[in-house]
Amino acid sequence: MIMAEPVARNDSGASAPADEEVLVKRARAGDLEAYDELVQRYQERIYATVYHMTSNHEDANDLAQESFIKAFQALKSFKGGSSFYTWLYRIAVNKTINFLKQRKNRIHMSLNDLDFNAEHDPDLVAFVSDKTPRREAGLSELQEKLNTALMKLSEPHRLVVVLHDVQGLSHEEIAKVMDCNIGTVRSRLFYARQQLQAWLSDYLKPT
Amino acid sequence: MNENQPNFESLRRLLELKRHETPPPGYFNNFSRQVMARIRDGEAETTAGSLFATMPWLLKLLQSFETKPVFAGGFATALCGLLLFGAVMAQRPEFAAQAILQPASADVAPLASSTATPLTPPVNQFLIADNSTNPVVNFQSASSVSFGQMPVNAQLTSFPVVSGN
Repeated sequence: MIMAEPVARNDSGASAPADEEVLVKRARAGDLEAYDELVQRYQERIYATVYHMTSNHEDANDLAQESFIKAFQALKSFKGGSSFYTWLYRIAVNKTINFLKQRKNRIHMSLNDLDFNAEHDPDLVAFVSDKTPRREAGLSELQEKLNTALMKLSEPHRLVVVLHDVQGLSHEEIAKVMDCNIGTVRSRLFYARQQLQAWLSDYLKPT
Repeated sequence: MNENQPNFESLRRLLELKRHETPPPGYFNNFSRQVMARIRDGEAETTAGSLFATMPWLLKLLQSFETKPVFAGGFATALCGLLLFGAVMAQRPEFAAQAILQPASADVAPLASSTATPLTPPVNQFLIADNSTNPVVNFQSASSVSFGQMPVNAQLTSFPVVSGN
């Protein structure tokens, strides 16, 4: 299973499925079954976002669960101005950023294992092939270096990279989630990529 | 910015490695169940919280038990004493009968006799019947009735029989 695939456009933003509105209405009225369905629909993406921000499975588990619980408690204040998906994302992101600020300088990575498909991904195989400057680097080492580099970024910069390059959200969607303009998203993305490129230069193929 | 894109392309491919980091197998099978269980627990706590909100003294009492065990001990002793007192009193029937059946002390009696005079108009003025369809009521005792306590007594009545012939 590949986690956090780029977000399918029909699941996000303005083009959310029509039944989502019905589920949200039912959940607002206290229907737990409807909310359970919403949780199942978005659990993987919310978990993935939090996990990539924290690089820690246990923290991601707690924060993702708390995000869903907080969303349920705050459902009555959800006006429907944005999609439920964006609103939920915002709750998870704010919760994660607050958590990271509190535990600053106490970074403890607890990385998930790479799935079976990683070893067969041609792009990733290329990174551990002869063309890679550090030939001895295996996928696990790459994973650790990549996560370490990501954790060096500030939270807003890391969030932009995670949402765009890992989860596949568009600039517009990220701007909605982060409550900022698209220009800010682009500039943060550019700066974050520059930083990552500098830190990971040993592991990137020369162009 | 465009001239940097090829470099970022390589980085972007490396970042795709993150998509292959997956939680333990079956992790998402229980995820929603755990969330829903925590939501239900939270609702139960909220109910308890609203109980404490309506009775803040109860919360203070319980908190004082937690912080000062002396209070808990004192409360338990008082409760035991009360139970013991109740048990002892229950074994003395003459005392219990006196306490319950003795209606009033001497200084209360005059007050009771003074209130015997009805302050309200006689009830019977509303109950005078002028036809045989009304219920039969003992009007003599109705004057001592107060606040709707109406004794209804059966009486023998005789109806005049008119002979048609």
